[in-house]
Amino acid sequence: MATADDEFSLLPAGGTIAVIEPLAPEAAPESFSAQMARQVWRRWSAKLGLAWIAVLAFCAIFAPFLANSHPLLMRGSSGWQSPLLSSLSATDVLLLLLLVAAMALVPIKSLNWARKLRLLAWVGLLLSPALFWPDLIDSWHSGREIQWPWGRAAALGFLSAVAAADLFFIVWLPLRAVGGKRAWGWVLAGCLPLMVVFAIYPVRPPQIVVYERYREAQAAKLIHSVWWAPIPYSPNDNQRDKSAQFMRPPGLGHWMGTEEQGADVMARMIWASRIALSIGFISVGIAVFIGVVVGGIMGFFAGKIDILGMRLIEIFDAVPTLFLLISFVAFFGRNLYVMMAIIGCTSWVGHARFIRAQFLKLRRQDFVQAALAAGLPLRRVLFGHMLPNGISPVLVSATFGVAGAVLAESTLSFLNLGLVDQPSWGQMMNQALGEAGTFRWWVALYPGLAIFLTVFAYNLVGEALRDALDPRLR
Amino acid sequence: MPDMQPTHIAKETPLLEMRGLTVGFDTPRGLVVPVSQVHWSLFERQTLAVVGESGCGKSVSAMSILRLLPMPPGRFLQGSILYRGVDLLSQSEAQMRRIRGGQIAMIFQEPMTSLNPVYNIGEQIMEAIMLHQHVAAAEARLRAAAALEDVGISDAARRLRDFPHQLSGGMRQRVMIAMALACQPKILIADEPTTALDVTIQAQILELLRKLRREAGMAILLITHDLGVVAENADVVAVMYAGRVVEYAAVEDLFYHGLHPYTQGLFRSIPRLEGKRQRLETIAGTVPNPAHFPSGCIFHPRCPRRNGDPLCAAEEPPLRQVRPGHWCACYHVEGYAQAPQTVPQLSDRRVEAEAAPEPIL
Amino acid sequence: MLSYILRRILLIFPTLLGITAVVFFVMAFSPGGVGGPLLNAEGGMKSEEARVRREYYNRRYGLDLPKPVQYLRWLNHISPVGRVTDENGVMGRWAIKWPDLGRSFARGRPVSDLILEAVPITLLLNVLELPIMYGIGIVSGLYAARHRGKWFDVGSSSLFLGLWSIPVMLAGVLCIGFLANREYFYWFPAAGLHDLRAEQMAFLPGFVSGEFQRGWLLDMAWHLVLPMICYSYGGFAVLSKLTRASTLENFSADYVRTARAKGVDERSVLFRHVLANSILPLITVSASILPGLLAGSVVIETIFSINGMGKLMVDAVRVRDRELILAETLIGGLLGLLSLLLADICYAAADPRVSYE
Repeated sequence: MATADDEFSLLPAGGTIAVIEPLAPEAAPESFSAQMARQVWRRWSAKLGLAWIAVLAFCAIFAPFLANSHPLLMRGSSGWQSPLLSSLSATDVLLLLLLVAAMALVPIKSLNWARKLRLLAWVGLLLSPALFWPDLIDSWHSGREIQWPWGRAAALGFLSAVAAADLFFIVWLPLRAVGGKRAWGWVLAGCLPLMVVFAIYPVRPPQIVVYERYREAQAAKLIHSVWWAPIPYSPNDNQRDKSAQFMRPPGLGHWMGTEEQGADVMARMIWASRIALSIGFISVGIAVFIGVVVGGIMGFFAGKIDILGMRLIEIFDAVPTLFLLISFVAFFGRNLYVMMAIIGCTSWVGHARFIRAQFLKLRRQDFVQAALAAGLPLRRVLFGHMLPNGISPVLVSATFGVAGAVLAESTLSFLNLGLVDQPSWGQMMNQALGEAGTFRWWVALYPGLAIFLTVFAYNLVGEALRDALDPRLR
Repeated sequence: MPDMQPTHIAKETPLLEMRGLTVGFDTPRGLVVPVSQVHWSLFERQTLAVVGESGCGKSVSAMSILRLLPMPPGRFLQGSILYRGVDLLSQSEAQMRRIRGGQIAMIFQEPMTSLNPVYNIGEQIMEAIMLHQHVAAAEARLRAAAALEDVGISDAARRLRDFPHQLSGGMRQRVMIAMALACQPKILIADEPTTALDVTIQAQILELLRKLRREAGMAILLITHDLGVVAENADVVAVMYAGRVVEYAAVEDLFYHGLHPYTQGLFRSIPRLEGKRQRLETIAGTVPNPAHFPSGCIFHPRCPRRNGDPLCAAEEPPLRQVRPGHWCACYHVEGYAQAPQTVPQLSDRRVEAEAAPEPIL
Repeated sequence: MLSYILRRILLIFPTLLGITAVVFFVMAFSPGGVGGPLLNAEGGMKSEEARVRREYYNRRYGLDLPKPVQYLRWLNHISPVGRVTDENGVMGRWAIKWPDLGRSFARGRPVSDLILEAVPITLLLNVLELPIMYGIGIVSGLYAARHRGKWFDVGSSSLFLGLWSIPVMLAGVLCIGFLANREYFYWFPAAGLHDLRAEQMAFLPGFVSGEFQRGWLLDMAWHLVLPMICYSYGGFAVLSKLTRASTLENFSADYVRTARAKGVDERSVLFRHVLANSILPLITVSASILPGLLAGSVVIETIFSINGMGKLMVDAVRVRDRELILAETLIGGLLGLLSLLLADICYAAADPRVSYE
């Protein structure tokens, strides 16, 4: 404290005073990430943001139980059955199992949250092949991808590479939680029987769905008693059994109205939360991965490599991203994974800039020099020592990036260039302005509000993170 | 402030007097008082050095003179700062602006960042001149060039167009001084003017300050932690520790007969050329944090002289005149108990300053 | 400085090459290759028309040639210096020629005509919108920084974060739906930049036979109100936050203390000393805003049916009009790069420390 005359750094004009407290010896040193988490949590705006994201996550996981044309439970001629459960797809099951795993992991006190996250990721990695293989085989044979035969394979390969990289960079490296062998054993013990079960009884919902079937059966008194989901409509249930259900304003039966195909807007809203959540995380994962690698290399080696990298960054800066995105989508068809990859590949520049700046600063610091002098391999120095120290600004830009990705997806969908068979908020808004000047406010307002709230939530969290990192500007 | 009557009255009235200044800052963890009961006086053409370690409150007290502290969170709790008998703390903001730069100028520790990077130095010097001397731009430019010449920058007229980033640290500090001088202030507050500079540049800047005092007849308040700078430049020294003035005396008196244990420790901790080589002594312990000042004498946890005296821990010793022209705040100084509590005033000046012709005021 | 600008201009070429190459190869590897639409639409076309198109694509790209060669042929067509191609697509001698952006079959017109019509409209939107965005952003950011912690600061910071988060689609759709709709308020026109009768109007507003006529200029302004609102609210929210942050940072800078110690009053400290420094990051950020604005026009032009670059692009993509997409990418990229260059020059002008040497 007495090394330099820093009286004025303690008392910046117009700033608050940082009082350096002597360290209380009995208090356990708090890790930087824990400190940041606490600071973020202290802000009500961040809490609100996180709360909305939690609501979205709830909707995404429980979408089949919230809005479904299949009855949850019914008694027909063949006794009690649950059409809803048998209609669950592999994605639905995986999400539910992940939730169960998370609930089981949370109360374990001996594991820190980083390890819990890692174990959860392993659960996902172990279970997804067991769950998705029937899906894969089906799509391979159905010829749906004839337009671009190797599309699904490429997308899958790419995605798994990305998932591995994500795991490596976001979960494994910065936290470097080691140990936890016993917990790992429990995970394996929990997952293996499930994998066997899914191998024998594959999750394979019927390919052709007749949504109105149960309603008609009920009308024909073939069903004795029935328990519907809270919203008894699937997102793609166009209510062909009823007449003139298109573009109905909100009212009884359809609380948020119906859209132009006759599907229930609220059901579509709920199911669309899946896309909104997944596109953000995966595309930002890709962007952060590219950004960290490019920025890290530039920052560490500086000099010529840095200059070369800056040119690359300038090029990507100048590209009108949306133009590129639109043309990609136009030629590669409307594939969620391709969309994620493209959004990721065009938005890494900001992250690279941050990492570069951090690494340029860090490389001169003693601990990096010491690590190099100790003969550690470059990979260890770069990603083991420098990255954990330089990652925090990227955390901020990544949070804002998630908001940007959600916006990009809804923009594409709004321009009718998004996914066709899956509900999306942006695509619903597209129907708001009809011909002849009619305005269907319910398909504009509700999905628009959902997009707004999601983007706002991520921005609030990002803001809180940034303030936690740089408290001067509060 | 305490009711004290000046018994040792200097022949002249001081130009600037700090009387019992106490500054507090409101922080999320309560009021912090980094400066408490600071007394000293500065006379015309005198150099008063305020000496102390980092964070002892010397810069805060200096900033208080021009009221440059952020308020809030800063607050003046007690005391007054008298400039020619007028309390600066009760002046309006407009009145203060006339004093800042016009009557009392200030230069800072960081010449690298103290100049505005987007304006050239001519514009920045001219701004001060036009503010205080109400002259046209052309005249201000001439005066700015003259001020640059005064601080030893050659080719001044051309240099006015330079931007701060084109100058070295020493040059920037010269520009800062020229800017301070341009309006012919009565007092120059130099807050660690040489700390950020190379040793050779330091010597040049200090020489420049001495020359200015000689020629322009300014009083200088020199804030520093460098005892060498003090020895060469100061007439009178106030030693500060943890926001208090613990000793106030003429420079030779202090250097040869320092009384306060902190002052003595300070001198023992600087290397000497003459005499037997021995290990440098250090003062045990660290400077206390303003948020957790000890009770009683602020120095007692580190004091070698205390010997468990309960009085030191119980009550803070005020600054008293223990000898003619020597003030000290320590119970364990000979004659402290009987010494009167007077306003510390010393109009002593060095011989070289005395020899200079009396400026017409 | 001059050499820097020259270097940046030279850098434009590889960048454009990169962007167009990416789009071209995406196109070439998509089902059907460059002549894809030909194959898809063949069934529905008259044989004569199909033959014309096939000949066109073959002449332009050489459909049997390898894909990189096809790209090089396209480059040759758009370059002002290159080999002249004859009617059968055979490369002739080198010459200086008029760049040929190709032909849009979906619209039956040369692509260059379409782009020349669209570029001024998009540029107009951007030129009008930048001062609005920067003006509001700087003023409110300064005010918030000056009254830090007061109601305006707290209120505007949450409000602007909220504004920033509103998707343009929502704003646009709500604006048209409620403010340009006979069912609610018909205050503004819903589409286009001009009234149908605008051609007959005088330039300035005035009275024609005792009746007020708004004139060409006012008519356009009236049409521009809603698009401008939707265009700028997100931008000024960002700029305001940025201004506030950099102003606060500069307020605690040492040179501000120097200025105060000189006796400069708070007003001059803010407007002379702090502002000059705190707009620097705004210029830097314009480098990332400008290309974004061109892209941002996609949504707004689509919603408000303004025939600029963005709408042209979306329409082209919907029908997979390849020549148009390639040309749009080229011109859009060029505009983005030029605006970056402009931002760099502005930055050098505003900050004496930047010399680009």
